[in-house]
Amino acid sequence: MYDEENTFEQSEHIYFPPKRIHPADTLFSFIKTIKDTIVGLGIGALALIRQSPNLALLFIGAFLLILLITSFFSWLRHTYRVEDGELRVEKGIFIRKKSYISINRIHKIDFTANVLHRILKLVQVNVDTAAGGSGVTLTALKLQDAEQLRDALKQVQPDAEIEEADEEKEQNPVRTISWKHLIVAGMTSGSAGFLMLGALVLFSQIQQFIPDSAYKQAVDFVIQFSIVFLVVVFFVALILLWLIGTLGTVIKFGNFSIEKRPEELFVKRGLLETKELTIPYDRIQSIEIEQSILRKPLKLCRVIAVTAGSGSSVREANPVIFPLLPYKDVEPFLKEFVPEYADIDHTLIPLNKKGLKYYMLIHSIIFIVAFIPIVYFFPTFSWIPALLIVIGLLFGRMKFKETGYLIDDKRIITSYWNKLTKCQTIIFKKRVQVYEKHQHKLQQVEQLATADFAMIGLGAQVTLKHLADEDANIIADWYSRRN
Amino acid sequence: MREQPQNKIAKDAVKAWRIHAGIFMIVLWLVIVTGFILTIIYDISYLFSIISIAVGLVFVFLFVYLIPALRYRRWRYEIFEQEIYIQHGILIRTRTLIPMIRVQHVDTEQGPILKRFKLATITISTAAAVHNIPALEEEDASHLRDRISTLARVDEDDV
Repeated sequence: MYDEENTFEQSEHIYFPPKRIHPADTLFSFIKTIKDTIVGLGIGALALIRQSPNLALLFIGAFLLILLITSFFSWLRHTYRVEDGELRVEKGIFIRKKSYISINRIHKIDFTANVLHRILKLVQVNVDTAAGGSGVTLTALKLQDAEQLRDALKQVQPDAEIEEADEEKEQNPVRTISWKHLIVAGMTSGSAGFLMLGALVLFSQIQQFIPDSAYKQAVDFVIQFSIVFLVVVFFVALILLWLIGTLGTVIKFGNFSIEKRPEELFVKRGLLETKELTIPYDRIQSIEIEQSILRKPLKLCRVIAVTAGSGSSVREANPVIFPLLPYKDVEPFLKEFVPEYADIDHTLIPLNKKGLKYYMLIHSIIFIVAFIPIVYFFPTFSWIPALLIVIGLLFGRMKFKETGYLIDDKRIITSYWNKLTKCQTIIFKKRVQVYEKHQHKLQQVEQLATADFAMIGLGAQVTLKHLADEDANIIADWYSRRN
Repeated sequence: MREQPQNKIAKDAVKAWRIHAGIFMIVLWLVIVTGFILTIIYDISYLFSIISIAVGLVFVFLFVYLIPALRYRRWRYEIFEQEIYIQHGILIRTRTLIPMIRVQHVDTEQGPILKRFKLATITISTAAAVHNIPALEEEDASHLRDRISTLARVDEDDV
């Protein structure tokens, strides 16, 4: 009886009155919604502008106004408090969502800050429970409020594990990326290609907004400067785009660090906005070592953990656990951070020779088809498809040679090309959900087969094309639990 | 995976699939006939009608006659204590191995056409994908469903 009263008194003692988070939350949720809808909205607005600019402005204005109002009210209705030994967060304008987290269950409390946070001297507070997946995020708190809250949550459970950044890092293995590697990662990221595509699309849209007369004058002007000028402009633009792509990667993976904790990998990255990912070991479905076509000749790669589930503890589908490594450093890296996936340097069992023609054909067929009409209509240009055919054949041959598998007790190591990226995947048998063997008519005759492993997770699938049928059967025997 | 699975699905599957395809063909033929009437009314060349009728006939042959029969011949399944083994696919033959411990749930389904033939489809869901065994005899289907769901209840061991 006495005990009960005592605990009641104690929890009464740490009562922390209901508070709103910082009004800047209005701004944050406003920006976030715009960020999330900009593509759809932009397309809608572009389509409307062409028909009636006034209506489009009205539409955008109304949208922004409504957004501002809802952002404001959602801030108004978003409160947090500590009572009865629980952190209680309530939010939602019409649909109230109440999250009550028992203080005993709180596993860690993180503060993060992006650029806006830093300017306004605010922090974002993430409260995670041991279960992962169910946590609470307070988007904007003044630093002192945040510390107050943390202290209040700490008071009850003095031994609760509260993140004090520096303490833990000394014990656990940590690896960071050097600036040199970060910049190389950016330069070989290949996002430049996408940027170029984006610029082209943008350009084709812009054309429609420039008045015809201005456009005509400009065209005359450009023609006077001859084609050389155009080429120079094109290359300058290309280099500029490439630099932007590089910068994008540098910003995304800047300050990258990975920490090995007892239960999970902890990844922290981002130059402007710090992102934190925790990857529990039991969520990892497979480890993938990727070498894009740009990085392969430089013997560089990146390492990815294909993970299951969409809990908030893993916020990215397939998080990068190291953005750029020399290939020879992969083995030590795996040994240190995910030891059961280490030991990958084996000679793999190659494909059957009969599969080669499929690999070579699939990469050159388009150019072979294009070759005939080009020779007929533009004979002077026929060297282009001819060259492409040769490149395609060689590329297919390379893919063929680098595809293979190896059964290594409870895991299977596979190597294959996925479009322009060479992947090496290590999968444990228990992570394979379904195994499939496909054979089309010709493969049936030639004793070839395509093997397919499906794992949990977005696009988590490994396909080995044109294995020897017997190898596909051996994998099936390995996978089958019948014997 | 060297031998194909033992069990065939119900023979009536062919009939059910033919009716199913036939319904789509009726829609296609309605379009063809409408086109035919329009060519008469507006006095357009008959060539279009002849081509569309020929295409329609080929479609009927393929989808109503040939494909259901081939599909039936290829479809096989076998349920082991530890796993489910399925074979299907006309042009590309696919053999699938689903371990019991990966099965999340099993359902039986029955559309109006299957119901007429007293058939049902078993749907097997894993965390990664959903697989079907189509058109089994009603009783077999519910029996199999119960059996799979019992077998799937094994504890997850570390294999």
